[in-house]
Amino acid sequence: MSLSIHDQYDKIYKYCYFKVKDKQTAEDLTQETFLRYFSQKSYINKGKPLAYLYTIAKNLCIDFYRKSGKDERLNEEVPANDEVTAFETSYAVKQAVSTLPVELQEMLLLRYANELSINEIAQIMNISRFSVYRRLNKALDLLKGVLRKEDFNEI
Amino acid sequence: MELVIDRLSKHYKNKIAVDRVSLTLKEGVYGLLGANGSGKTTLMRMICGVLKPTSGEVKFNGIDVSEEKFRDLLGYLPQDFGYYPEFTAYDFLLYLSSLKGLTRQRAKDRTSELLKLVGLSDVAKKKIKSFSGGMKQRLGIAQALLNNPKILVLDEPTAGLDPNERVRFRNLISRLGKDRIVLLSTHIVSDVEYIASTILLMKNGQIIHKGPLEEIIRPIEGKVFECLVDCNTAEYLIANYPIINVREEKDKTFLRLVAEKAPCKEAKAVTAVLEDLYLYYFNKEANKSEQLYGIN
Amino acid sequence: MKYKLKKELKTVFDAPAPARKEEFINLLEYPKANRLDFFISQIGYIRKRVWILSLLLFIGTLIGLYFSGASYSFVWVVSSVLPFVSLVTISEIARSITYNMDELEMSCKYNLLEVSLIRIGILGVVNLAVFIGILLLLSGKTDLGFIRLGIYLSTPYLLNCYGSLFVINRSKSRDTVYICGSVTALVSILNSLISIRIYDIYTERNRMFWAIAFIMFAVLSLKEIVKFIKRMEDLKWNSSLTA
Repeated sequence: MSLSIHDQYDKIYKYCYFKVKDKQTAEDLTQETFLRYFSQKSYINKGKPLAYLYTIAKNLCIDFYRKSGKDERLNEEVPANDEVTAFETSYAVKQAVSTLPVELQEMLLLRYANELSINEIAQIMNISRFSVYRRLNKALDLLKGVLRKEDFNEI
Repeated sequence: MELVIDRLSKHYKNKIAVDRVSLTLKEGVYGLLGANGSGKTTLMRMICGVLKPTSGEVKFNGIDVSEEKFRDLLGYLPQDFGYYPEFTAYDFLLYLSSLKGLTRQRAKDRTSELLKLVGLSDVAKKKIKSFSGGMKQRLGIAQALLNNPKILVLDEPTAGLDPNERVRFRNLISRLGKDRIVLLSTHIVSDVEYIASTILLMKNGQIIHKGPLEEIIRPIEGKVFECLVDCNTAEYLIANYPIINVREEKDKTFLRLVAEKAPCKEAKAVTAVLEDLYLYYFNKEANKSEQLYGIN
Repeated sequence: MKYKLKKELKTVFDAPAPARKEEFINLLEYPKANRLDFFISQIGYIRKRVWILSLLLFIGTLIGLYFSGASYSFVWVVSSVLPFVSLVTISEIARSITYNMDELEMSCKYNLLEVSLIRIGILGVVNLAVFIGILLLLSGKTDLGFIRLGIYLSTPYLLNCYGSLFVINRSKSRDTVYICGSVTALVSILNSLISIRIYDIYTERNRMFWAIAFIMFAVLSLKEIVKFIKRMEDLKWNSSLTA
C-alpha cells in the first residue's frame, strides 16, 4: 500500500476542489494536508495511510468553511472541465451528478474518481462498510434514474 | 546553495591525482569532462567524503564534507558499484534507504516512485544478478535520488545506457538541475553538451577551464577546419596538426583538424563543437604532461 | 450500462490542473529515521546463517555432551568447530567490501563505518554469548579449570580471526571469502592434527605454549580489527587509480 505523493497530490487536490470549488484554495489545502500528514510521527506507524490522509483533508476543508462562513452544503453545479472535451455523455452525467445530495457526490468521487477501497471510505466517512455500499448503490440508482429520464440511451 | 571546494588536493606516492582544485558550485548541472586519469573520479570521491584529501576543504553551505549532515544532503553514483548477491532491485533500494535515514514507509514509497522513474518497475522483484549493464546503471541512478539530495554527484552515469535510456537520463538530469547542484563526470562529450550549464575541463588533476559551452569553445572557435585531400597532403597534415577525425573516402582522405589558419587550400572552416575541444586537449597531452610533471 | 457509467464517473470530478505541484513535492520534508531505527534495521540485514550456525553449535555441544560426555577429545572437537563461527562472523562483517558496496555505503548518512561497527558489535556479542554458553556447559565436567578451558577453546578461533582479517584487510576480491574458508579449514585441521598426534597437548606442561598462543592471536586479531575499522572510514584501497 504505497503512497506515491505524485498520484495522491492530484487526488487530494481533486477532493479539495470538489469541496471548496476554488483552484487556489484547493491547492493550498492539498499542500497543508501533506504538510500535516508528514509532520506527525504517525506517518511511520499508521496503517491505512490513505484514509488518514483524506481525513486530514476533510477536516481542513471543514475548518476552511467555518472560517470563511460559507455553507458547505451549497449545491453548486460541477463545473465543466475545459481540459476534458464535453462529450454529450460526460456532460449529461455531470449534470446528473450535480443533482445528487453532496454526501453522495462525495462518495462517488472517493470511490470512482479517486479509487479508494470500501474500507478506506468507511474510515474516512466514519460509517460502516455496509453504509458505504448502501449509499453508493443509492447514488448509482439515483443517477440512473436521472439519466433515464433524459432519455439517454447510450448509457 | 553553495558547494565550496577549496584548494583540494590528493597526492599519492608518485602521482598528484588532484592538484589544488578550487571551485564554487551553485544550482545547476556541471559537466566534468576529462580523459581517463585526469583525476575526475578522485575529485568526485573527495567531494563525497569517500576519499580523504591530502589537503583542502569541501563545504556545503558551511557544512564540512566529513559531517553526517553533509552526507544527508548527498546523492552519489560511483563509477562502479556492487550489490549483495541475494538482493532484488527493490531490496537494494530499501537497504540503501535505511542507510540514508529514510523511514520504512517513506523508503517503500520512494523506492516505488524511483523504480518507475528509471523504468525498472516491472523488474523490481527480480534479482540484480539478472540485470543488464544498463539496468544496473539505472538502478544506480535511482539510489542516488533516494534522499532527494541537494548535491548529486554522478561518475560516468551514462556508461552502459543505450541511446534511448541516455535521452531519458538527460531529461531527468535537466529537470533535477533546476534546484540542486548536479556534478556529472563523463568522457562522452554529447552527454555534457546538451545538459550542462557549466563545463569543467579537467586535465592532470587540475581544472583547466570552467564556464558555459560558448566560453569553453572559444579557444578553438574559428580554428577547426575540414578538408578532403589526396594522401600526400593528408600525410603531411596528419604529421603537423592535431587531427580530430580521419576518414578514408574513395581516393581522397577526409580530415577534421585544428589549426591557427587554413592549413591547405581545400580546407573549410567549420563550427567548433565540444568534441573538437576535447580531442584537441586530450590528444596532444600525452607528451606535454610528461614534460610538465616529469612522470616516467 | 453500469460499467460505462462508472467509467464516466472517473472523469466527472476532474479539476483544473494544480499549479504548484512539482515545487511543493520537491521541497517537502519527510520525517527522518533515527539512529535507533537504523540500528534495528541493520540487525535484520545480518544473514540468517550466523544465527543458525551459532544455534547449531550450541545445540550440538549439548547433544555431544549428553551422548559422549566431556573429555579432552570433546574439547578439541568443539575448539575445531569454533573457527567456523569466526569465518561466518568475519565474512558477515566484511560483506560490504567483498561485494563492492563499500563506496556506496560510505557516502550515505549512516555510513559504512557505522554499519561495520554495528555488525562487529552485534556479532561480537553473539559470538561471546555462544562462547560463554559453551564454556559454562563444559566447565566442571572436565578436570580443566575455567581459564584453561577458555584458552583451549578460543585459541584456534582467534587464530582464524586473525587469519581471515589479515586476508580481508589486504585484498578486495570476491575470493576473500574462499580464502578465509581455506584458512578456517586449515586452522581446523591443524588443530585436530596437533591434538591427535600429541595426545597430551592439554596437559600442564604445555600451559605456556597455549597461554602465549592465546595472547598472541588475541592481540594480532585486535590489531587487525582496528585496522579494518579504520579502513571503513574512507577508501584507502584505491585499485582504480586511473580515473
